[in-house]
Amino acid sequence: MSRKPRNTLISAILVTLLSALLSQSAFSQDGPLPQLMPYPVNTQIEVVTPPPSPLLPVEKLEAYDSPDDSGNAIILAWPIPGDEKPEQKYIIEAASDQSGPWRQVATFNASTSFKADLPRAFTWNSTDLKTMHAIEINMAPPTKAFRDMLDESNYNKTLKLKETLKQIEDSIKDMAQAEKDVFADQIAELKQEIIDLENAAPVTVTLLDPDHYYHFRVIRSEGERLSPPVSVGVIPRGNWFDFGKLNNFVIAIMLAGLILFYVYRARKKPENIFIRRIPGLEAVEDAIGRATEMGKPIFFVHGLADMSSISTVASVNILGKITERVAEYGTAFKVTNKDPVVLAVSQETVKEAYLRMGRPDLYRDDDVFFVSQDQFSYATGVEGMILREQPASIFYFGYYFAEALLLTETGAHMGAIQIAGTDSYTQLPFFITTCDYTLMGEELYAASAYLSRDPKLLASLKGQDLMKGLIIIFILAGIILSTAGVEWIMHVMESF
Amino acid sequence: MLFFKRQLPLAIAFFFGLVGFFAQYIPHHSFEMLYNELISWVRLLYAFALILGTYSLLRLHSKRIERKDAGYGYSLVLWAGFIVTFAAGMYNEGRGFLAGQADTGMLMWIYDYIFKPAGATMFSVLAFFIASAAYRTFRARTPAAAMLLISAIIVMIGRIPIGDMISEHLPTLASWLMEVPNAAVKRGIFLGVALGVVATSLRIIFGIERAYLGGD
Repeated sequence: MSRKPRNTLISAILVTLLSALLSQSAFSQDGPLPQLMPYPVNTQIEVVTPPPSPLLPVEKLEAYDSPDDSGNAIILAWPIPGDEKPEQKYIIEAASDQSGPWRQVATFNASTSFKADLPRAFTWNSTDLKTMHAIEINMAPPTKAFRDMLDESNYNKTLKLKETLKQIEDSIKDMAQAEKDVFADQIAELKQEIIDLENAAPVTVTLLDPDHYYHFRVIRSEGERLSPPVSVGVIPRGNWFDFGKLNNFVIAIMLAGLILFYVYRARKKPENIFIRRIPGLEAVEDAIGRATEMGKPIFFVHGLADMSSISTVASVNILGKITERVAEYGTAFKVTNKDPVVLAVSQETVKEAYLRMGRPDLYRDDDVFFVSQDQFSYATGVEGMILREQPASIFYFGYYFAEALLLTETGAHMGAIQIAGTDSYTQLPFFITTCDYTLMGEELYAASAYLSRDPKLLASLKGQDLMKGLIIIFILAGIILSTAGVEWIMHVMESF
Repeated sequence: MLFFKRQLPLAIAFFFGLVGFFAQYIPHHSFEMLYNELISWVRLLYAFALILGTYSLLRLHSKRIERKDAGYGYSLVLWAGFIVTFAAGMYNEGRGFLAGQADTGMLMWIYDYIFKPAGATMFSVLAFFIASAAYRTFRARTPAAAMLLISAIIVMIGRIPIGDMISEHLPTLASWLMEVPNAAVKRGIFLGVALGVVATSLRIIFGIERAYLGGD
């Protein structure tokens, strides 16, 4: 009990001393009381930047139906804005309705796409070719082929993925969360794929049909800065004549006119038309005669092109004429084919030729046969036959690729007389090198007329030659006039 | 019968020839649809013709085997190859011939490990054929052959690094040969070919050229 008053006393003394000490340090200075400093907390000063000022919108935006097209393209044009910089971009959006939804259909750098890039629409001598931006927006042509292609387009893939996603989400909505989690990864992947596709696709497939009104809007962009959109409407229409090909059409009509005129004249009054000697065709008779004397077969090797190639049609024409000659001698004759349609036509041609010459007994289906549709399988097959059967004469007519030399070099090693005719200029050197005679380019097309001596066919060659003369005169006139600085002459033969 | 053998084919050639001609100048979508439809008919015809081609090939080789012609062993190989490939295609990795062709399996193995290497081998043989043909051609027996030989040497040497080391003018000369005389001749051939193609097409469309029908 005696210690308690003493402890209280010590505590009282300590508190008094501490108070005195604190009082002295706080009030020892003269002057006003110091201001309280703010508590040092870790705060960041928020700098509020003003939003980027928008770019000026494009002015005088015009929209045109693209000329001479099927009705699936339009052209937008506007003057280059005064404040344009090369790093700026233009974004073109389109919609079927003014209220949207708008889809991006094109974007391009400000340093590109001018009226000068679309000579078909703005001609070559317009004054604002480099002062106006212009872009052609191609929309999907409403053809089946294109619709098939659209099935594979990003847009349609996106639609399909969205549908799949919806099906998955519908099917799992009543499941427990644990079960839903099983599908989480798949759903996330699908969503990401949709985003990727939508970002990758400059989609135009919403704009399909010609003769419908569409809206387009142009937005300028520079980084985050955008201009207000400016929109315009247009109806894309199909055209019934492509005026961009007028020059081509005129030449075709002139050529047709000349050929028909000379054929008409030959029909009325057949005349002896001179045709220059073509050694390769003169040698056909010798080649057949040689094979007959040697008792060896003759081969006719078709090129690789199918029946839609005019060189193949010309080859079939020559085949008929050669078969007639072969029928006179009764020599073994074999025709190799790479294309099944050419095979059918060749069989008919050979059969008819034998029949015409009164030798239907000589025709055997197996003599006109299919070898292979593959280039090198065809070459290997024919080479093998040349080596085994050792033909005395071989004719190569049609369009050839790399197999030409494989075939003709084998024939040359076997000592056969070889006559070739092709319009494949890359293979001409090989034929000239390895064959005895080569018909070059247009000689292939003249061969049928040359061999048949039909006045109508010869007359058509006359028309063709006259047209060639006119073209040569035009080329010479073009050289002289363009050298003299007459600019329009350089654009007369332009094709768009 | 003459109608079916002559007049009808001529009428068909005339009509479809004109459609093809005008398709080049009429861009309208309606005409484009018609033209594309016709193109799809061609694909159909082609599918049937392929059966004809296969029949022709197999019959020819059957007869060779039957007659035991020289080299009939190759015909046996062809038949064996056809049967195995056809069976692999029909089996289609157990999916059957109505399903789309499998990307893997026996058919693709045959294609990747037999067909493609065989084709590549034939293509590579071309190098030796070029050498042998060049040797024969470059024997300068005539002035034309001598010119060809000299031009070829300039172009070949001028286009490899050693050409520049021999003379700095060689690459220029090689380029000049390709871009001036060669291009001029090539364009001349193109012009003739283009006119020949158009004239032949017109002769067929107007029925002047009938040899493809088997007669005049």
